[in-house]
Amino acid sequence: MGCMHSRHLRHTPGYEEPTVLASETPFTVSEVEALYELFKKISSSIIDDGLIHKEEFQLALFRNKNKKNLFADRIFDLFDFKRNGVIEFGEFVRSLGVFHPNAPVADKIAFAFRLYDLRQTGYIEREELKEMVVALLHESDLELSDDVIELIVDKTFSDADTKGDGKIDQDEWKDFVSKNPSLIKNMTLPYLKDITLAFPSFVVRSEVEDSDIYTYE
Amino acid sequence: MEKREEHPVAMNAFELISMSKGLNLGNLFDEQAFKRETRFTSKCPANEIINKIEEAAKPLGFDVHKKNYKMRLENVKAGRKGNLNVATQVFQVAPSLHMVEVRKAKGDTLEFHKFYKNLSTCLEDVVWKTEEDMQQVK
Repeated sequence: MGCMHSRHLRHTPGYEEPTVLASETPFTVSEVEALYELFKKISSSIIDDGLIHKEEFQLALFRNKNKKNLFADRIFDLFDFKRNGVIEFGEFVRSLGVFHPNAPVADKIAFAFRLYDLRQTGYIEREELKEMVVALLHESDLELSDDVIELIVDKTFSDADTKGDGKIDQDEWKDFVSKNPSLIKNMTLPYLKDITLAFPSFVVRSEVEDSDIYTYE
Repeated sequence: MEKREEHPVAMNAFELISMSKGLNLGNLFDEQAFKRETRFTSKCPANEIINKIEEAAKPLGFDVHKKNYKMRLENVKAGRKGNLNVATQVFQVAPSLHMVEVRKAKGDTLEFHKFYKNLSTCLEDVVWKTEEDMQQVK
């Protein structure tokens, strides 16, 4: 049973050793192994290939594989660091690392900036902000007139765009977040600290234990 | 009577956006059952919302402390983890639309859920859309 587990691990594309991932993220080795259980569940839900496809991500997030969502798309694209259209295990762990309560706040602020920079120009443009507000209102079934939406966008933009050049750059964003810390509230998942409770160690076998069994045979 | 600010704090566009289900990765972990905060929208004026919440909370055995558009509701009786303490705040999304956040500040999360259920029943004519309504998959 232990041997099969190890062999399966090595063949998953984009797989990285838990010890490596633990050394480069806020997670411990056990937490990375617990994340692997979650990753396996999500990545096998539609296509069982050890990779998270967009539909599998949508299924996990919305319980509906066909639900299209601007923000989920942005998260998916940021997690898909190699831009090959799928989220691999290494990418999954490294990206979730930013959401760990112990991750540096600077990383969270930077991630949120990239998230909202829809067209990746290095700035959050006014049109992008409006597009996101419209998307949120539509998603939540809230109707507001265009005038009112413009008011909301204007007010926020004037608070954040201190240089007054029609776009929010990374420095303005950092200042804005320091004045409004709740803006990055969703960049922290407290649950990540308890992930080993969801996937207890009698279910997950550590790689180290497996290789011991191997040599014993 | 304390002097109240003209309008509730405006909810900025990024706060609004951050409410998207697509940006709340807690859903990947089935966190739903243990949420410690929720929100609802209302088309009523902010003052009316505050008054209605107070009117609903008092008969449920809660002491009410108000400051501008923030309120603290504290259960007079202690529960499983001390006295349930709930914080609410009214934000303005647009002149005709307010967002009300209701968050557990102290106490047992299940008791919070029960309290919120009771509160919402009393607030039926104030609530326009609940968080559930807003996150319903279309």
